[in-house]
Order: sequence, then C-alpha cells, then structure tokens
Amino acid sequence: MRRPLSIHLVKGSHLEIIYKVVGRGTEKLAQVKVQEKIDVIGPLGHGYALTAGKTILVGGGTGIASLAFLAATLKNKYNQVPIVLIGARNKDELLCSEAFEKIGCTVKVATDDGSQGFHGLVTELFREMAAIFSTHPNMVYACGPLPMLRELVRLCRHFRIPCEVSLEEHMGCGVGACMGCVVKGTKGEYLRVCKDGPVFNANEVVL
Amino acid sequence: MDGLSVKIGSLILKNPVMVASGTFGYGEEYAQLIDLNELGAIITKSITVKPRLGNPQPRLWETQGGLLNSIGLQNVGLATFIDEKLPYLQKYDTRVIVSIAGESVSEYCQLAQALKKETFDALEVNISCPNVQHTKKGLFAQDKDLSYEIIRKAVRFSHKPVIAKLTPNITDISIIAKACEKAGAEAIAVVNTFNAMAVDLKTKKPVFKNIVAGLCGPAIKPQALYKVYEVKKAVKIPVIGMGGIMNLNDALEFIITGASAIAVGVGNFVDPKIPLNIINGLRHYLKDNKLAQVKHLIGSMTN
Repeated sequence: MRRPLSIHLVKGSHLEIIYKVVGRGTEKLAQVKVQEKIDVIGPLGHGYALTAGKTILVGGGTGIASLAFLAATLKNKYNQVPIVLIGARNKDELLCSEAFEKIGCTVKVATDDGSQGFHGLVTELFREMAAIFSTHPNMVYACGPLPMLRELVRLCRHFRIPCEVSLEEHMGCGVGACMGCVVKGTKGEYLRVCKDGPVFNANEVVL
Repeated sequence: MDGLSVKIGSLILKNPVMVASGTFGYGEEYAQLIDLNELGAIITKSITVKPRLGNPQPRLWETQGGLLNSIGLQNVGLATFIDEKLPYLQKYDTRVIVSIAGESVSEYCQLAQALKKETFDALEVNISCPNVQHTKKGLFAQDKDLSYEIIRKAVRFSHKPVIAKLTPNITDISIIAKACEKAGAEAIAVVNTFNAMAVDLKTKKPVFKNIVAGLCGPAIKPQALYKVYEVKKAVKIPVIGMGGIMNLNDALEFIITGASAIAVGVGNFVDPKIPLNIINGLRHYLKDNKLAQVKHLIGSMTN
C-alpha cells in the first residue's frame, strides 16, 4: 500500500517531504537510496485555502512539516508571513523551526517537557496568545495529532477565529474511490480525507 | 483483434480484465490516472436503495500482504447513481457492470427494476458484503434458498445479464454457486472478502467496531483461487475470478484455473496501472506462446 504524505517544501523541481518512521511502509521508504526511483501519485486532494492578512500556523509533531509550504506560499502571494506555533514532546523532537525562520516567520515553540520555549502544549500557548491578540488573525491553519486539533478547533470557536485543519487517516486508494479514509462531517455524512480533504474548514468536520 | 476478447454469458468483453466493486468507486475517481477505455469492464461500487453512510472509522487496516476493510457500503444511493454517476461511465468504451446490494429481497427487486431502463451492460448482485447486516443468521450468500430467490428476482426484474457475487465464508461454495446458476445467473463472481479481524494492542480492543472485517489483497489469493476452482467444477456458467490479483501471473493462474475474466481489487490502490499492465501482459503472453486467443487458456489447467 502507498502512504499518504504531505509536501514540506518545493524547491525548484524538487519536492521535500518529512515523515516519521512508524511502521513497515515508512521503514521501507527510509531505506530508499539517493537517485533510486520511486512511484508517486499526486498531489491529491484539497490543500489550504489561502487567506491574506494575519494568519497563524499551528503544528504538532510531524504535522508541522506540511505547514512550511503553506507559509512560503502565503509569503509569495500576499507578501505577508504567518506566525508559527510549533509543538513537540521535547526539543529533540522539534521539527522545522529553521525552515520557517528562513521564510521569515515569527516562530514560537512549545514543548511538553519545557526543554525549549513554552512549557506545555502548543494549544495552551495558542490560548495564551489568543487571549491578548490586538487584532484577531484571519485564519488559523493547523496540522497535528487529533487531540491537538480538537482542542485548537474548540479554542478557535471560542475566540471566533476561522480555522482550517489538515487531517490524517489510513488511506486506501487516495483518489476518493474506496471510502476508506473518512471523517465525520458536521451534516452527519462521512467525508473522504483523501479527496474532500485532507484540509477541511473546522466547521465541516466533527473531530 | 488482439485475441483478448472473452464472453461472459451474453456479455462480450474486449479483454478479460475488470476492476472489482468497491475498489474503483464510480470510475471517475481513477479517470485522471488511467485510460478507462482500456479496461474490459468496470464494476461499480455497490449501490443501495438509499444513500448509505457506511461504518464508523477506522475502516482500513493493512496486514501482512493484505488489507482489512470495513467500509459498510458507503455509496450515493440509487437515485444519485442514476442521475450523476452512470451517465459519466456511459461515455467510456468499456463494459459497465452495476453492482447492487439490498438489505432485503424486496430491495434487490427494487434496485433491479429501477435500473432496468438504464444503459449499462450487466448487473452484479452483491449478496456477500461482510460489513453490513443481511439476515439474523448471516450473509445472503450463506443461504442457498435466499441466494436463489434474490438472483431469480434480479434476473426477472433487470433484463440484464446477472452476475452473482459470492462469499468465501462458507463450507461449500459450490452449493450457492449452483443455486445461482439455477436461478438464471449468467456468471459467478468469486470471491468477496474473507472474514477477518485485528486487535489494537494499545487499547486491547478490536480495531473495527463490527469486530469482523473483510480481508483482501495478495494474502487471500491462493484461497480465492481455490474457490474459483470449486465453483468452476460445480457450474457451467462462466466464473469471474478475483482476490489479490496483482500482476499477469496472478491473472493467468485464475484464468487457467477456470476464470473467464478476472478483476483487480486492492491492486488498484497499490498501483492503478495494474489492470492495464495485466492487459498488456496478456497480449505479450499470447504472442510469446503463439496463442491466438486468451479464451483458449480459460480452464486449461491439466492434472
């Protein structure tokens, strides 16, 4: 089976992806040698809806990887860089902060053990910031573990900030045919993460 | 002619390679990736009378050489299928086989009747989905009388060639195959997924809410092949073989065992080009072995 992976950055004719080795599939992928050819289908599904003005990116774990390409695209399109909040278990598992700094983003870090930046969850960091915003952001974009997304969506509703979330699921076909990778929609129907997402407006889905 | 054409009852296919129901949506999902005109036939996702939500997540679980699924027949329902999905498929130069699944005998009748005046080539009657409730005792395709009754009515109401899709989860599949043949089925599709399960070690709970899920993929290929063998021995009508077919050799095994056509299922997920690779592979195989027609290979196994 194939593995659904997000694009981290586009550099000329190169795509960068960041993934964590979690099982046999990603383990095999990690053994691929330089110059070895692999078969890729993509890009698939719907990405983030681009929004001008003040935006915030919130990423947890490897989920942060998919947000760098968004940050770069927002900068190119609107000449405005988002604020980036990165959550990780500890400073050793912290990913991508340099990539965002290179784009010109303000990066704030939260670690569970306090080994770098804010001591606590990235959603707690977000809540502290949101409470003192002078102007609300036009959009919060998020990718990360489900509990993080749930809490973030709850906070965004509370502060009345629009939010988009990028979801992960085990996938079959990747093109919307097999109905394997679904998430419950707010109208009660099941939406396909591969085709209707992976990015959804927080109002569309029940997490 | 390239010698690939086969006959499934009254249905003539330009080649024996189909895509299996449930793995290929309504065709449109794959149109950007492969040329649908190349396929022998497309078997649609099974359609139910009303749209079905399907089962809760998770619905998929990869295993060694296989994939467990518990989709629960999520589909757009009969009306939307006729209005939106079928017209799209009709544009292609391939055979369209519409798969139907009812919750009762009368729903199968309703589906067959509603589809009667629509343009497509054959009806696959799915009486073997392991992920939805059929009867209190089990699947329709585990009961020879119910299988007979459903197929008989589908034949009577649809006026299209009827293909009965059977379950392998039964002691003697030949009894059901014979009942379907007697009921007027023009072909038997062998087989649906095998009952299976998985446990999540983190939670010590079954992965799937229904506990049972359907196993497909290369892991089931030798078992599916044996079911084809058993059915082929039992009936005179053609058999469509499926279960873990990933390449030309797999397809040849099924054809030589007795399948008049084959269907690629989970292989479409691994590489959407697999059906086309098999078609091209068959072309070369005929040439290399100086065979005029693929149909001469069907059931050519000797022992």
